[in-house]
Amino acid sequence: MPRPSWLFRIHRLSHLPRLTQLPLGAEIALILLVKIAILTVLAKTFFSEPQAKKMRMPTEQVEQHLLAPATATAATITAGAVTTFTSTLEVTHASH
Amino acid sequence: MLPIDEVVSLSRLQFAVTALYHFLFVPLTLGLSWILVIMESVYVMTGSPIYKDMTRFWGKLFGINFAMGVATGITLEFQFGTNWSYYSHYVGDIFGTPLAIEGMAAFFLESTFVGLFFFGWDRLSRVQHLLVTFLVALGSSLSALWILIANGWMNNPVGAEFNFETMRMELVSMTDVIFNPVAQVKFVHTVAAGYVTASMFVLGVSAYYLLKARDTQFALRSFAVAAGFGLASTLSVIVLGDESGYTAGEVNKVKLAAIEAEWDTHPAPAGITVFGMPDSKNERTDYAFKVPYVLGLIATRSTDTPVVGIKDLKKEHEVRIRNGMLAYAALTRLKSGDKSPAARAEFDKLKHDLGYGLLLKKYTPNVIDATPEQIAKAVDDTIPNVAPLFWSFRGMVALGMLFLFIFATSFYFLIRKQLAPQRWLLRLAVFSIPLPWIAAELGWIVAEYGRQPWTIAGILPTHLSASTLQPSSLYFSLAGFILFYTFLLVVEMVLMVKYAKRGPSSLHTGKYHWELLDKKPGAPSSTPPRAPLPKPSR
Repeated sequence: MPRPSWLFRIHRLSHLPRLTQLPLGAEIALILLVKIAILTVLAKTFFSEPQAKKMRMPTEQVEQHLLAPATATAATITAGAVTTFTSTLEVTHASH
Repeated sequence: MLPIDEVVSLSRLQFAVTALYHFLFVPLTLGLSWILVIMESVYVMTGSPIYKDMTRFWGKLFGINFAMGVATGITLEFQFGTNWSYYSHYVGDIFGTPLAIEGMAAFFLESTFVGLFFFGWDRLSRVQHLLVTFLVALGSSLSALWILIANGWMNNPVGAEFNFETMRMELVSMTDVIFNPVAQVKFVHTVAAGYVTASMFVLGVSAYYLLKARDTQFALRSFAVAAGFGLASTLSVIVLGDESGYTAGEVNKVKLAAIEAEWDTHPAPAGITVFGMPDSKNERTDYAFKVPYVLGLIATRSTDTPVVGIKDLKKEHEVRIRNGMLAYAALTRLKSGDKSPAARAEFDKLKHDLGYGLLLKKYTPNVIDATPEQIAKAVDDTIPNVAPLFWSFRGMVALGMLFLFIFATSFYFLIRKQLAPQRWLLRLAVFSIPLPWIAAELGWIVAEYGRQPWTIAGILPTHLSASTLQPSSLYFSLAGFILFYTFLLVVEMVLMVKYAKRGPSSLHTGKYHWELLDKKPGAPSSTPPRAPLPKPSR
């Protein structure tokens, strides 16, 4: 039995059962409603409590995330040389 | 894998998957809207009703794609606040503006005029309706512009300064952000790629009608518009891609070196590696086939400027990482309460390398005391994985050349009125319908994977941008997104195939193939999808 041609396969795709018997406009409206419902479920389930609300976080939390933990041995710089000073900054490494 | 690595990797995967899915819908909207403008302009100028039918039919396919694609980008914005909270905080002052404007352009301008496009045919004059179609196209391009301004800024963060008080980048010049050369080049390259995608879509579907010998006048005119617009767009993509290479040579040297697997700095002008097997471990390219001078000319527009190789870039990065350690120390001093003018001046002098110092956070909690081994690891991290970039780029370019061949050949045979016998070309056009999407996705892989290890080039490393989340949450949301987008994609393909197969008969004008078949006495009712299947032909 010969294999069906590519034209036949494309043609056959269009014979998949219709989701509905509605006209295109109504069909698209229905799909848009389903889409909004799925997006809402995804947003409420996984994204309802963003850590950065309105693209902003508490500055202290960002400091904790980016800067050194515990009492830092910081440095001052003079032309590439490093001299140390002791910081009293207490930073917990909570985010890690 | 450490949990933090798993969270970062999953967050990246989720963003990549949703962005790649989203961009399956975008390019057709970008390009088809302008093709509708061309078709409707001809209708307004000539009054020929076939061009109105063309606008309405391709507009119907545009509408299906628009409906499926609209709001698929909103999931990316969900992720900024939840998965990429540190990134959002760090760059929100700059990034938020273009995103908000994009939302306005997409939802108010584009969506409003899409509604008028479909429901305004009998309510507006010809010129008014053409204006509506033009505004749909303009709205979709403006949406792309603002998103690409935001994306361009991630690759070349200009017009902003780091404020240690708020621990975020703050906007200094909106003009610099808007006219960022990377953003401008990205915009024109991306929208032109969208035009190519839509042109290939119209060309391929029209070729299908021509192969089936139905609605030939309709198909030939559509084919002609697609061939002309596609040829011009493909040439634009190639020229603008070249411009993109030049811009990368100016501001994204690492990305350029990785794309070209340029391990060493060769004497100018550098040759281009057309083919080879990049070996990142040994930092060499095996079986390399090089064409002399080409890379140097593309990337530097000169014959005496070298293209810096990866090994030399690493040496530069080591210096910047060591400076970054000092910047980190200066920042720590400021945050500890010493805000003297000397401390501020010290930080200001070094803050441009702070991001490089932050790369060390992956290996040590205390950046200031990093060991030489940790510094060496961070230096290695500054180079993205070469092989995927090398091959993705070459795949994209090869497809671009194929599109040029298809559009140029189509245009040639069309103006010679010899298209009908070229069945091989018509078949090639049908088979090539999905290829521009593949090229566009490869382009995005080059652009975004090539930016690693940064979310904001040179400013904020990716591993510090992600939120602290549970991996399980990311697995579930990733699965949810994949199911959601796959559902949309399947529905889109089913509807597209169904209405593309119906062709202009779906307009119910009584002038086209399936309706004419119905009118023939004794002919079976053949309106698709219940039309008889064609016999398999060999």
